[in-house]
Amino acid sequence: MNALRRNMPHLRVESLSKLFTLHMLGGRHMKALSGVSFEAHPGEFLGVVGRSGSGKSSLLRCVYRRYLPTAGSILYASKDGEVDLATADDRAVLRLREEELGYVSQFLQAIPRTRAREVVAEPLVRRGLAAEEARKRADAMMEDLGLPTSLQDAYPATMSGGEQQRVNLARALIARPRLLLLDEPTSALDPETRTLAIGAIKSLKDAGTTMIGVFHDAETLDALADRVLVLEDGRARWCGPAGEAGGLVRSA
Amino acid sequence: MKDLVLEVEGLTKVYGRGCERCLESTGPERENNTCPHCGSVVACADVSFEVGPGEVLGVVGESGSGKSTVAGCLAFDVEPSVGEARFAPFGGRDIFSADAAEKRRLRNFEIGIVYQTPQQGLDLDVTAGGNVAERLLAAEWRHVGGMRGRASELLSRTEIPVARMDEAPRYFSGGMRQRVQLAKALANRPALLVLDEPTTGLDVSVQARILDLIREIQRESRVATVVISHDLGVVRLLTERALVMRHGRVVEAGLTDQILEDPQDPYTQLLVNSAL
Repeated sequence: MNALRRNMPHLRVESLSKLFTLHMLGGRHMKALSGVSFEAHPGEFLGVVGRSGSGKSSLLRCVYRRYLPTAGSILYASKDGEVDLATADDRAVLRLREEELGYVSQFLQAIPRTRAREVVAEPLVRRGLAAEEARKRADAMMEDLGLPTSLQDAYPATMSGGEQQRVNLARALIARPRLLLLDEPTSALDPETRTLAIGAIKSLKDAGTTMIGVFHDAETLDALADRVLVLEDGRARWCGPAGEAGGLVRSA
Repeated sequence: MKDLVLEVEGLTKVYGRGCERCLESTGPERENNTCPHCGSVVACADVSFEVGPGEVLGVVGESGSGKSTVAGCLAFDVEPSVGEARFAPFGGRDIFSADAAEKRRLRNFEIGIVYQTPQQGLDLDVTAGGNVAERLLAAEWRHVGGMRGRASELLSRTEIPVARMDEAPRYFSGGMRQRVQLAKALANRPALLVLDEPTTGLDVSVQARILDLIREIQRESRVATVVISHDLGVVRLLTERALVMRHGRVVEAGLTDQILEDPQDPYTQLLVNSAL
């Protein structure tokens, strides 16, 4: 349980680089991240800001191992000790995803032909919770996010972008991960439902979840972030308390 | 074998007399799997992977990549040239070096397979119920009423109308035949399920329904599963980890979403970019 002590980082990223080699384009290289280092502490919300193409999504994807990092380490303090997510064995990463890590992208990762309720309940069912109870909690979570009751047993593929985002977010929040990665999870929401989403994210954070998030608007960032990491051309330009970021965030 | 159902190591199958230079002369870099020195075909070489309880592993590649040879070896249809497959229900011992009686027993009790072609997995002229009962008999069920009950339970789970249980799969559609194969493969609650192109050649809508069914049943039963497919869509839907094979070799292994979003190998990049 040492890892949970306040003074120990929950996630320590060191000299992380991501280089894509595009073999179909004659082996052309594209640099997404160059030597990025930062820490996220237990229970804090780290906002990641930067222009489009600065590497924000790549960073989150590397942490979740949707991208395979090219160099550097991603040291994660799991319940069972420290794991380098950059090099950990695939099965170990899957176990962590199931038990400790959450990731919400801007777009729904739809499970085809599966109703919203089942999509949201699935992480709980996989952990062994009775289907009935999981569905009940799924309904409650979708309700917290303002998803109309009539949509709860609909297919997410037929929903609007904003409705899909709420299903996506509900699925991640219901699992109560220890580390949650948020990649513009509220971009398609109207102000009213965005407030609901922020509330739901906050209440999970208050329960102790560490979060790293990218947002398209400064208001959401202001509402959630304790500290901010500024990326520019794949490099970490600044990292510090959200209140001091001011101009850097606005210009980025 | 801690936390694993199956651990395959160095699986190699060479058709032909083989020579010392077979392996170095074939594979993705050589762009072929026929040895130029002795003419032997290296169907697969040095394939290693592991599957844990409840896990689904995908093996993806084009025709001739060797992926079905891997399935064939696991079902004892193909005799491997080299390699081991340590299997938890077999006390963690290598099933490839089991004797004939042990293999029969493993095949009857612990390993279920669904083939691409129903003729391989079913007797098309025996009733659907009879096909399933054949598995149960092999696993030493003796009570006819009990077998019929279990067969009808399995067939209804795989969505074959009970009314058609006494008809022969010859008169079934392609999708129904695959569902009978699935019922048969699951009959004895195997520890390992091998699906070799289970939906290839079916209409898209039929394919979707069968994949959903496989997904549901796998989740319920938590059976360790290996899915062989040339179709990235199938692998995306069913698996969390995958191997990509080409010219008999594993060119890439990883988390399925990572392989699809950040493929490393040139062939995998081509495959991902070729998806419709």
